[in-house]
Amino acid sequence: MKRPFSPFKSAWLLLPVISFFAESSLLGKETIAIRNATIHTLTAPAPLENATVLIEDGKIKEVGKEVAIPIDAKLLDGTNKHVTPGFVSVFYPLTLQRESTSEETRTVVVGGRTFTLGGRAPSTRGPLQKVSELVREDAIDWRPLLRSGITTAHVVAPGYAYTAVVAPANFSEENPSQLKVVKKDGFLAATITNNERSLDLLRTSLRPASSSRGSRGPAGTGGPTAPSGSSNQSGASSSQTGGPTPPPELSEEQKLWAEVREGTKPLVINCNNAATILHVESILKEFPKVKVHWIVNGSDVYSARSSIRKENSTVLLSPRIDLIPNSRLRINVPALAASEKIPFAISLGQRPTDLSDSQVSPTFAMSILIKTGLTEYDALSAVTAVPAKLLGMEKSLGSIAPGLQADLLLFDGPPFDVATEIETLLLEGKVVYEN
Amino acid sequence: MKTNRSILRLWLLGCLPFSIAASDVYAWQPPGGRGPGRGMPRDENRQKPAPTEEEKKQSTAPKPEPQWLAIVGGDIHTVSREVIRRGTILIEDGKIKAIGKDIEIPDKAKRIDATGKWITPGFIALNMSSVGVAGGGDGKLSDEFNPFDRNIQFSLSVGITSGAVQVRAGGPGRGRRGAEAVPAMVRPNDEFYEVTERFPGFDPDASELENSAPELERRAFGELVQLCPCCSLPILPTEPITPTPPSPIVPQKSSVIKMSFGQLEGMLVKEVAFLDLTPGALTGASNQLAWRDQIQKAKQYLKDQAAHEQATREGKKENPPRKPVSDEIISLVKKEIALRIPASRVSEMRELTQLSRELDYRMVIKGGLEGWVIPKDLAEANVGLTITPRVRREPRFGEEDRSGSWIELPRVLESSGIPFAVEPLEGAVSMVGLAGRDLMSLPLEAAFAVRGGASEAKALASITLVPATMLGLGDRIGSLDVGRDADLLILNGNPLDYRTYVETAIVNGRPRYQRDQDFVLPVYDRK
Repeated sequence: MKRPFSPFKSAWLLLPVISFFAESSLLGKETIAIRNATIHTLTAPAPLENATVLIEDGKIKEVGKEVAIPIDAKLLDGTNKHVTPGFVSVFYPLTLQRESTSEETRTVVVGGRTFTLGGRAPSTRGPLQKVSELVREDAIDWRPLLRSGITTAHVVAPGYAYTAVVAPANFSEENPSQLKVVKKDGFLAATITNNERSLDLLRTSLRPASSSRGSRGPAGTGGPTAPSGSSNQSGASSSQTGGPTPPPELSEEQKLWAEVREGTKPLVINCNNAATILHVESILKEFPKVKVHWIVNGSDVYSARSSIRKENSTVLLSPRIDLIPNSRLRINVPALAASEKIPFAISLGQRPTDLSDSQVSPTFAMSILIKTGLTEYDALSAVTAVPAKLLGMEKSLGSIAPGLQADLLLFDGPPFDVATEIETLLLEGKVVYEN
Repeated sequence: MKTNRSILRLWLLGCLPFSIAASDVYAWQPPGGRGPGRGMPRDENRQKPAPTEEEKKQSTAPKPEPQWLAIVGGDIHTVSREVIRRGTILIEDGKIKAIGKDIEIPDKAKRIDATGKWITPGFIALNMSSVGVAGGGDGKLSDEFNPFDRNIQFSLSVGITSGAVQVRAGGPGRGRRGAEAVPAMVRPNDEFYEVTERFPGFDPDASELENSAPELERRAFGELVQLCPCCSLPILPTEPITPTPPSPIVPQKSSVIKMSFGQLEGMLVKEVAFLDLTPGALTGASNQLAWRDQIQKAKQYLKDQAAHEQATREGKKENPPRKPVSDEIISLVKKEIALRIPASRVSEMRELTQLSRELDYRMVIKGGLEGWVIPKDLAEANVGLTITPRVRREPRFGEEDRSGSWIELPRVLESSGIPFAVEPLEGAVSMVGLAGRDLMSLPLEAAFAVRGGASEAKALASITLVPATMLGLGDRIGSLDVGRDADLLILNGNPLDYRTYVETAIVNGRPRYQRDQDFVLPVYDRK
């Protein structure tokens, strides 16, 4: 079957390939294949050994052991290396630029009586800060985050805020801090402690708007303004008799709280002590559908864990070994949560020290948790798949499967070995970081 | 880079034994900490939370199964009745279901073996501060509870299971708290109130200087200058002196709180523990007049309100009567709370007892050092005393035989039938300063009453049933009887002995403190 070599024929054969190359480079299409790597897909408990992941157009095209690699694909050799999805920081605290609201109060003495003027009444809360609207485009320096493997961050502003999910945009060494809002509609987040003022935020907001409308007075409907005891009956009867009362005008904030009340969206609660967990859970007994993401200390979770409703809560823990309160005993709270079936995620990047430049191994803290009882799969999914699911972005983030965004980390060894480093980081299919 | 990594690996290997426990043991224990098989089985709530979840589900289920706990084999010191040797206490859902010798224990009940141990009611401290409450008392009290407060554990470690916790300090109001506390209703020890009541024409807002017209004036450097009426020298202009009204005095407020460590439900027992007055608030004719007036107004208000309720029941429409005095005074008149006032001198105590007999309310005298002089008066007036047996005071000159403190005060009180409660020297838990001054010495303070001649039973009652009765909660706490709250202690000896430790403190039917696991007091067995 040997044929004489014919330069013409081979040139013809090459032509479509060349044209394809030209086209793809013009349109920015780039195909990357990572070969022979151990791939932690997180769609199955065990990683794929000696497998290939094919990335095209910023998305994962194929993953598996027998993947046909296109001839034009850029190849990354993954021998003895591990691929994981990019980490999702499920709680990234960020102070926003505040509008200049006058919160200062003045004290005036008139006729021996003291009056406090201006500012907010002590029982009211601050304005809802929408992260997607208030976040500056260069608010986050992505370099330390990417060094730690974080490719997506759920930004939670302190106080009372509506969160958003952000990711780096056009990242390069010259442009390290540009961000784009990946998901505008995040969750309601509130910092809550055990005092009346902050617990009232929950109580008043969770209460259905109809009753608060009645108490505030301006009942726009023509219905009888009866006291709350009989209002239900009268409202029901009027709707039955055919006088359709227009639905009450809900403000945007009230709509968000209604979603929380119905359990369609979770509430993110940043609480600074264990007592707050008990207080909030006792309030939520009235509202059994409410789902809560707790931003808490591990030791507080340890104290209050018997009060946390497992079916509707997720604890967002930081990756560290905690102390049992008032003792010298150490406790691996993520492992405890895993064994007691309390849903949990691990929030990376919560403290700036976690991201410090000296951090050689990004998974150092996690590897200690693994050495003391957390399984590797639980640990990895607690920073990738679980946060993606919590944020409602499991269709684009958090695991390695066809169609998902190609935010990938290529480790030069097992990802939770203490001395492993990130060798290559891909953001939407582009290599942005090489060690 | 390579060398770096290998160093890191080595270092980590070195660290692992120190910081890391076995793969399925989550708690790492220091050597010599708690050993296996020491002490009693752990409370289900803190070791494995699964039963509490089941319990929650059970509570929503139509027919909930009660939670039983049986304490078997201990000597039960009921305080209200006789001692039951080797008895059993059966607790059902936080209340005592049965107590005695031959009691059937349900199969599902958890058992605690207390053979050879003492079982007493939980102790009650009447004067606690900074235990279990986080904030400054600005907002709603129950929102500021911290059931994980370390001081709760400290209190439980000496056996205090509930107490009157000071939630607002007394004294003149400051800042927002003071502004909020501007009384809509006058309070008994409000100086401002007294001034205006005593001198009806006096208007503290008007300056007297402005009203007095200058008699002489002359011009100096073109300005009007007042001259002194007696010496005709010019009075130099100064800042006008305006009498500012005294800031309202906020009475101290304490609430009865249970030391249910780790649980919020059932923590608040009573919002107002006492009507607290400052020392000397009722001494002097004018103060007493004002006080009588307040009490009369409160009584009249209660009558008016009853009439109003009657009228509304009959269908008449009337405005409800206006509250003339504070809520505390009204509940004092209703005998829901007692008046608590510090007094130690004979003359003061006599005046107070006369007032309480005349106006008919419950009263607790705090201190009462010279109570041994007038036991008859105190007994007739049916007042209670809260004493601290170790407090000493020198007698007054010339009255050596009928003034000052006497160590036998507890004996005198007991023989005269005057109920007395024991308080420690300080109401807070303190880890600094003099040991034994603070809340953690409450049972030992009661032991000093035994030293002063009181019987051991009365000394135990002085930190259990007597304070409970003073708080108006004698039917709930302070004694072990059927239907009472299951607040009890398992001790390894007589609570009035300095060698005794509380082994387990049970609040609302659940073990909330265990000596061998909570690392508050040393863990070892005495020989």
